[in-house]
Amino acid sequence: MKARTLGVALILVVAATAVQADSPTLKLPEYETRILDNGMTLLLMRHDGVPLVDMELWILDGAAADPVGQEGLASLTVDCLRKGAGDRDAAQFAEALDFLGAEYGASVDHDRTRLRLQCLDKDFEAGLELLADAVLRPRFDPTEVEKLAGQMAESVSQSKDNPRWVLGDYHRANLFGDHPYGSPVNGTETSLPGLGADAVKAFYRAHYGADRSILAIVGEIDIERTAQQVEAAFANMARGESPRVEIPPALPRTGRELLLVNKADTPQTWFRMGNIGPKWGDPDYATVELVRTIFGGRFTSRLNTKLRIESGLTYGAGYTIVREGATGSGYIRSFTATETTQEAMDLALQELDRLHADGLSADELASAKAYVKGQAPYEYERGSALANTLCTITAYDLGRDFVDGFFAAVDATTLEDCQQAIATWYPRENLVFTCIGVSAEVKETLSNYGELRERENSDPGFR
Amino acid sequence: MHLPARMPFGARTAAVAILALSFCLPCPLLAQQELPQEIQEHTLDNGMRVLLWPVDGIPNLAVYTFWHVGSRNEAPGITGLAHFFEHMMFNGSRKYPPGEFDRTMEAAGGANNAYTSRNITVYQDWVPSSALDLTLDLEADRIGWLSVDPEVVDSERGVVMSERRRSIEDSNTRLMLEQLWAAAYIAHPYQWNVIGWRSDIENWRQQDVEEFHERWYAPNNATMIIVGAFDPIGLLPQLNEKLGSIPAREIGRDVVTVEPEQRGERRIELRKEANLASVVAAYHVPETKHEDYAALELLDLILTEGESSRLYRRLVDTDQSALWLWGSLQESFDPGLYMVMAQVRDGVESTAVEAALYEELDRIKTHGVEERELSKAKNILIADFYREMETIAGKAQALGSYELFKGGWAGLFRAAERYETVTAADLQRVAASYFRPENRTVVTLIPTSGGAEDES
Repeated sequence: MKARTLGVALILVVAATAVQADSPTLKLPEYETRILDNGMTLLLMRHDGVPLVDMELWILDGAAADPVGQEGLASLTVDCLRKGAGDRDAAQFAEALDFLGAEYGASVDHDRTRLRLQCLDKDFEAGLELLADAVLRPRFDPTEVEKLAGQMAESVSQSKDNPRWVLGDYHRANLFGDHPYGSPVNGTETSLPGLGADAVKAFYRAHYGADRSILAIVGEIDIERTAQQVEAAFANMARGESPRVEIPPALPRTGRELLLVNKADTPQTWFRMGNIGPKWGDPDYATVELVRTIFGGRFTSRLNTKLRIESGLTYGAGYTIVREGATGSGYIRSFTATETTQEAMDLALQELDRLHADGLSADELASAKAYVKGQAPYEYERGSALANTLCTITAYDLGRDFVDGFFAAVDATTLEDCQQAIATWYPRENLVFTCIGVSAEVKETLSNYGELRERENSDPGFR
Repeated sequence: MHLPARMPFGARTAAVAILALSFCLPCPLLAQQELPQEIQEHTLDNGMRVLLWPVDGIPNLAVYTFWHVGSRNEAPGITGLAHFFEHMMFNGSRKYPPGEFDRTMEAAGGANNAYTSRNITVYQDWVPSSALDLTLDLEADRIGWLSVDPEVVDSERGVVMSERRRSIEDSNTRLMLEQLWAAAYIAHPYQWNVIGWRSDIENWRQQDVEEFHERWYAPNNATMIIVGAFDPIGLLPQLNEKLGSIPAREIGRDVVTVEPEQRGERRIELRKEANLASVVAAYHVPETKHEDYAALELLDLILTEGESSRLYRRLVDTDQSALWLWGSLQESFDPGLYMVMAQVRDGVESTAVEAALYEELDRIKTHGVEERELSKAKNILIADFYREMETIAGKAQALGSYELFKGGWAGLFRAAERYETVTAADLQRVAASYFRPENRTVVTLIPTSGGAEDES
């Protein structure tokens, strides 16, 4: 899920007046930035509509900070925040949240830790108090920490019952190897049971710092008053004891290699094939997205047309780009019956070859431009999406032009630009393949695509 | 259960939502919700219904067409046809050959998807306002003049087989649910999955598809809902010209089968490779229009919503016998199921999870719920209502849901009354009426390999 959120065009928003639809503009609503004395960045946006207020807090350290052998620590830490905080134990915290009808979410990816809380306007103070308690006053009761670690470990093994839930972790490990981005954010069957309150507290002290935190608040708010409330709530947040984790860029992989994960009872083969891809802040965002739209980003994309619409080999095929801070990734993805594995993978590779050989047509590009511009507003209708956008453009230093300049960048994109983006970001020669399937049936076929390495789905971890 | 048919790209998981609104709790801003005057309701010349809700905001539209047909309108031999037909609605009509519906809409900046449930089929178009005329033209053409190409039927059959493998056969959870419904119903057509049985998928005929269109896709069996930035003035004549001119037809005979009362628990085992066991228990409950349905919605929230819910606290937190759980109540025309599923922890007997679940249900039957729990459930509904109202797609979905299942779209704006009058005593009575062992069907997943030490 995370991969999708990050991978999909983070475009955005807004609010043109009704009916002047011919040349809608895309402009991020005005917002204010305040830097608190302790270094926390506060972003405030007034957004009218429904009486909900969205809070999103990013702490710019995440799973890349997990020590080797302690994979899942960042994730466990953020999940523990609500298991007793401030004056409330875990049950009281849960009751207080649910009584507001609030939505609360806590997660990590490699770059960052993310919390969000949405509640009714009228409950803003109560919601803010819960968020601040979770972030500033977690109890990390050893019993609760161990309980969660045990649950997470079993979740990993249960996820392996569903190939589509774990294909991403396998591909990440296969693509990034020992780079910090290669670790599974939610840990492994063996890494989690060893984690307890001490490790969690240490992680918390080292990384949960105001100096690397961004808090966005979006809703029908009074900016001044809200700023005061937030400053009061977060003023005494400490700095992190360790410096921010520096993540080196990952190098592109060369050659063709394939990991086959054997799952004997699956009726199909799930596959991804790709390499590293663009990261946040790389130039030509609009161009890369336009190519992706045409190649594998919408229903009539070339991949879906070949593998689904024309041949009926699969329910869906496409291309995903996951942007992260140090290095991104990009891959073709699909699934097909065990017996049509080769047919589907060959078709996908042929489309990749054709993309390089023939480029795009002017009609395709015009259609893709209309499509990304037509769909962008939906992605940012919600206050929660605006809050997420504010955090994204701030954390990755994209500036508001990332949004405000998007339509102009789309309009300006030429076929030559696309050709360049294809050469740079849609690799063909060098590919890392990750497949989950029935080894006895597909191993021989798959060994034709590259140097094959095999592992059992039931073995711990994802490497 | 909704089966999103065309998911890969829109991947807009249009939340299956329960809506509600404004209870007069201490919350003045909720009291003002009134019937929006700008919503228009029309019946076109051929009986097709149209709801128009102009909304200022993004320069886009949500055009949702709700059809009163789902897998309950199928029969053995053609199970899955409603959903397959939904796929075929994108595969060619008089003016737009196979593939052109999507290509044309996307080139105009639009995207689409559709889903089929046991009860209804819904087509969703998300288009910029500039594409309204085109969208109406595309919709009218496939409603009035669908053409079913035999080659496309075969290719699309492969797509649906892949969808079945992906969504059902490669998911222990979904396989369990398939068994559950098949066991809980012995007569009524809710017994089969929306996607249909594998052998039926392999054997649908061209003629089956054509007959299905003839029988159910009469314009007088549809409600089109348009929400977003558009000017309603002058739209009605255009709707009548494009859509209202499609001839009305007789609609197929509605389901007459009534599921006989269940007189004893039914238990099913599913033995399959898995790392952990799971269990799902289901009770027959009334259809959405029934007076007890609102109480069931509230009960579901009290039992399973959030970490303060009764079952989370008991199974996941206190007993630590389940890894996760969920409850589900689906909008339906005929009496449906209330289901609770739990993923059983390693080393725990699934019967222990079951016993704790039934104990919690019995506790409500005996002692009822607390007033604060009831208020909490209503607060959740209020917040969920606004979450759905935040987008034009959410508004379209909500109007359609009320229109088809809850006695008319205007009910959306009277949801307060719907839930406000439900008391703790109602919840206790309703729990006692439906959560009875003899009204229960249970499916247990028993792992056959793959690290399940608790198996022996």
